[in-house]
Amino acid sequence: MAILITKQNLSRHSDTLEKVYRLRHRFFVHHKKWETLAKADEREIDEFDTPEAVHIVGLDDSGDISTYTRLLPTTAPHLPSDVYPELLQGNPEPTGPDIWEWTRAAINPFKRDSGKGASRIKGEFYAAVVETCLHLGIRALLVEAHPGLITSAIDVGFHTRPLALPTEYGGEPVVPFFCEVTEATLPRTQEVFGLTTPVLQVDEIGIEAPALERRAG
Amino acid sequence: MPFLWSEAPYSLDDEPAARVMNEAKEFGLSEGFAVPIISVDGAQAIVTFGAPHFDIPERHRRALHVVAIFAHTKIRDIRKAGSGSRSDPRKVHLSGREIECLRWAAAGKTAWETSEILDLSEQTVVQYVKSATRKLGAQNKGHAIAEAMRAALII
Repeated sequence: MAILITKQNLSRHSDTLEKVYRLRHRFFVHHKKWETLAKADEREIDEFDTPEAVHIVGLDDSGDISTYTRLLPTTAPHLPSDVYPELLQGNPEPTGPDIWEWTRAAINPFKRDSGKGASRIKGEFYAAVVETCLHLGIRALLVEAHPGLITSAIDVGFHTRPLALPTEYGGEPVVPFFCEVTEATLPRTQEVFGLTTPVLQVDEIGIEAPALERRAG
Repeated sequence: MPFLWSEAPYSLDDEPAARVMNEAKEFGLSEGFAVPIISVDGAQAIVTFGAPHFDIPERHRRALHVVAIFAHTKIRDIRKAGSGSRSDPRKVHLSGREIECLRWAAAGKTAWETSEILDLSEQTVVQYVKSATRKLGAQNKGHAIAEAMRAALII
């Protein structure tokens, strides 16, 4: 199951968010070797972790964090606009209140299911993201990642297209791509991973939709 | 990660590998570029581009990488859609004996020869082939063999 941490319930989940920042450091700095993110206090937190950020936290039966990912509004500073504009190679970047950037995807390697086939944890991770989009009125996600993840995005049901050719960053190919959520997306995700129930727990808080708020305001 | 064929050396003693590379050369494909694809369920595939000579700028290789990714998805979708056209082979379940009898028929054995090999009566073999033919939605034994091969039920 997964929970959303947004500005609406930030105070209630400050402990979890602390665990998130420490998990991010272990995962991205130590496991993925993204040295540029290293922090002396072992908390991986950056300038985009504002109250506007949405954190999707996957929890296992013992309440430990099994997966994590972060969505950032494209109507505020985010990676392609502020840090890596060269990734788009001069191509226009789709932005808007219903387009969010999908960042910091982490599946806890120690929590992964063993064996082949579509792992349940991975499935719940993707389903949580898709369900979040549906709850928050997010039409599409912007991703900068290894080209191999384009296949994953297509597999789980996003209508995906590249925004530029891959370039190299830190010795690895990186490509910006666009994932649209359609009516077919969630059923497809559930079908691929054999999920029959929603993953996201939204009843505990009245989740306001930041995107819809912005449209109204 | 994509790689050039020249970056994947093979031993000349490795017969299957050598055969593939030599056959490629016979078709004028001396050099090439291969893109491995891993699906979200772990399934692996490779999309490969061959040419008499492969010397393209890095930027074009990156474009090929992206083309390969989308081509693979499209091919996979077409295959899935195509397999549902006639008697949906995904739904066909042949028994072990039905498969065995079809396999020997595919190898050119008569029903009598198959009955000797499998230690069954000839009539039993005929029945297994008939029921397999019916399940596959085929018109006759030859058609049944073809449909079974298309559905990868026999090789």
